[in-house]
Amino acid sequence: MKKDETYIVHGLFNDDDVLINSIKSAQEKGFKVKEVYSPFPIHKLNDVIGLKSTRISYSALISGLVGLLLSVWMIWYMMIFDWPQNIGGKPIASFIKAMPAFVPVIFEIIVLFAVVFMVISYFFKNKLFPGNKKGNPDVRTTDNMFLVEFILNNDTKQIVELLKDTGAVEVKVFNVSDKKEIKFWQKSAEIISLLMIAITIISCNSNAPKRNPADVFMPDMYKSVAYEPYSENSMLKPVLGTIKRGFMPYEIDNTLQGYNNALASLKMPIKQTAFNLKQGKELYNIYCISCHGKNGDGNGKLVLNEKILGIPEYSKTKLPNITEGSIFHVITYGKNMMGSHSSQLTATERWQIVQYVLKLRE
Amino acid sequence: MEVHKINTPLILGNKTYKDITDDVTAPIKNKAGKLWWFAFLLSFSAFLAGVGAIVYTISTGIGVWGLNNTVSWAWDITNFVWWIGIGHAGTLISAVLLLFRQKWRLSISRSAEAMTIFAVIQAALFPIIHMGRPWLMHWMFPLPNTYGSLWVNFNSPLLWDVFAISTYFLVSLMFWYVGLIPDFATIRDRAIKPFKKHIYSILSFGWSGKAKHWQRHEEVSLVLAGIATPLVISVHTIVSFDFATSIIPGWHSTIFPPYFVAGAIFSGFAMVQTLIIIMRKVANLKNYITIYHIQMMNKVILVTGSIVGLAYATEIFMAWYSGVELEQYTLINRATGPYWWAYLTMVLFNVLSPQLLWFKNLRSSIVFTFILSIVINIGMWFERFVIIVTSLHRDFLPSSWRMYSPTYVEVLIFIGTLGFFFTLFLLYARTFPIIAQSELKTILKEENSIAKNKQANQSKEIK
Repeated sequence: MKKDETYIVHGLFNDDDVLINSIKSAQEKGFKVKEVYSPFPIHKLNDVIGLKSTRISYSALISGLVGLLLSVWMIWYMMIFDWPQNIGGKPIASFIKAMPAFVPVIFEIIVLFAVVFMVISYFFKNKLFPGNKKGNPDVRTTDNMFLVEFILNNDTKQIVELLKDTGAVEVKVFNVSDKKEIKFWQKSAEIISLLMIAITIISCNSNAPKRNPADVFMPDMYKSVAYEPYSENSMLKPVLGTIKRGFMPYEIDNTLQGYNNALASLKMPIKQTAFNLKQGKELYNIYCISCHGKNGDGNGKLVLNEKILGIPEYSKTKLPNITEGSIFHVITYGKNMMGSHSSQLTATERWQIVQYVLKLRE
Repeated sequence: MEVHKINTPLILGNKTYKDITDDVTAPIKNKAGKLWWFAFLLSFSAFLAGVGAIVYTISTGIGVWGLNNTVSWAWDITNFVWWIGIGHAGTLISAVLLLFRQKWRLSISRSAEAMTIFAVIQAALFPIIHMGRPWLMHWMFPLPNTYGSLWVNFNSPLLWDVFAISTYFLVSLMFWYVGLIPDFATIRDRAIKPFKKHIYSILSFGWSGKAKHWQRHEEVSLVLAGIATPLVISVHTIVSFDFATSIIPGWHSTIFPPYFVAGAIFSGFAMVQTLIIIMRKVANLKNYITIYHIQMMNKVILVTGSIVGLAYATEIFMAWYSGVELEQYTLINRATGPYWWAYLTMVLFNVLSPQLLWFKNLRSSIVFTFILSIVINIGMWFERFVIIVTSLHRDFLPSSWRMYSPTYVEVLIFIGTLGFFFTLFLLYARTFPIIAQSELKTILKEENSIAKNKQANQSKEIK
């Protein structure tokens, strides 16, 4: 044996307690344990061989926080900034007000980020990936054997005897120069070749027009088996003139004539009060703000984000001729691009909005 | 070290480390028996029938189901909630019991987690089928699109469901896989045929069992358990929000989240019992899954069953106490209306039958437990049916009151998911380490000494 060569010594044990005692007596003699392979986690061992506590759980904390920030930003961007949708009259202009409904998704995204990145960093730190063939030095260490590894530069006689005396079932000595180094690219060659095969197969799909476009494989919902609502044979149509309870029909027609009529003669049936104005403001900030803007200048979010264009500013100087009647008429029926809001707002609520719009006009 | 004080060993038969390895890898080494092939072919043909029914539904339209304008949700959502509920027991066993340091979880956690994953797959099928155009499934996610980038609605409980269930599936899968890696390595090292060895060496990700790796493994498992515990509660809470945030009488109730979570654990444990009792006999695991394990699970069933009973009683109380006529009518209609038989089944199977578990000899009887576990799962299916159908079939407008009955297509889809579930589970039982053997080895010495002490005490008493 030459003095400058390195040797690996493997001691195999069949009991975890014997292993720990053997490691302890080896450490007393000044030997440093390189590695221990075991079929299951041994808690006592970590202190004996001086393992520092792992910091892997920090990756969950950090990625959870990243998930929190990303999900809040994403929901704010989608629901408040980019396209505020008016859904069931929920507040849409303020993230804080609308936030309770976003909590479930934010929570799930935090959990997803924390877990996925912690597990990925666990795989990364432990060098675990499909196709990794390195594994353990002895197949029995995943069954009932415990293996302790020492790396020495000098004579191995002393440690071999020590291991045998303290209960090792088997002791092996390797000269390191015998061992072949497996390069990373060799290990991953398998994965790469599999990927290439997959890509080849996928790219075989040519774009030549083979299919007859007239074939409809799944014409579902175009030809429904069930009766459509209010179609023949389905349900009785409501009697002509049926209205829902508590509803007063709006007598003026949805025509130009009707618009002029409302403009000239329709008057507000509710009083001008501070309460009505406040209600009107709240409703305006839910139902109108995304197009007409906070001040009624036609610069709502959807206009600024170019989802909808051509919304007029209704200040007194720009549109001097509109009246409370015509505003109510337009909210009820809609005009040009604007849709009807009569199904979402009761007549009183519409009048309250009218009060607020009149205030904004000034 | 804290030793569990109860004088009952969790591993019987004075096993060694090698015995555990051999017993767990035996089903993978040996050829499948006739019984397995029979069960496999049966469930696989049920699965194929289900696939046929799904293709028929999607190609023709949802009209082939028994739904109508009044009862627009019925069979599929019942099955969805039933399956997702069953899934919850797996996470509860592996995560919550890990946090509580319950060692009896070790022998059953792997199979319970497998059950979770397979059940969530079945659950996720139903909303996808109900979409009608499942190839547009990606529209559920907030992806940029050509409609001005019209985003999904984050106010909707149905979208919360999308996030909850996909997160739950991924987290359960990762939790399961992190635990499986060392056990796959054990099979890799025992495999003799090169093909088998190759497959398991890919699956085991090159696990070596170094001390540092084990330390990280334990830490990751603990943190995963800590995260999975609130997650599992959130998932069924969000499922219950699908109903609770609506204004339908019988759904619009704040008791729904705890009631659903308890019901989920209840039905899930029943399903674990069904599977475990068969498995311990077929795979010869009686020394690892003992009567004690079955008793402990029966206690969980008893507690959660009582919570479910309390929730039913609270619903009755709240209907009276709230003074809301619609709520009162819905409740009376549930119990005495055209679907009274479903309500009666639910109460008998879910509230009264688990109360029998107060008796110790019933609690430790394997035959009784097996029958009860099936009874409970039928009962819990009817619970969801009662909640969904009886609330909808008589809504606010008496002129549109309708009855609901499933068509054969719906029944076949449900049988198909049962077939799919058992196909997956049977394949799992033959190819996966069905017990978390590396974790189980950590308690072997302790359990053997408990068993020895117990034997010594017994022989003393005889003398």
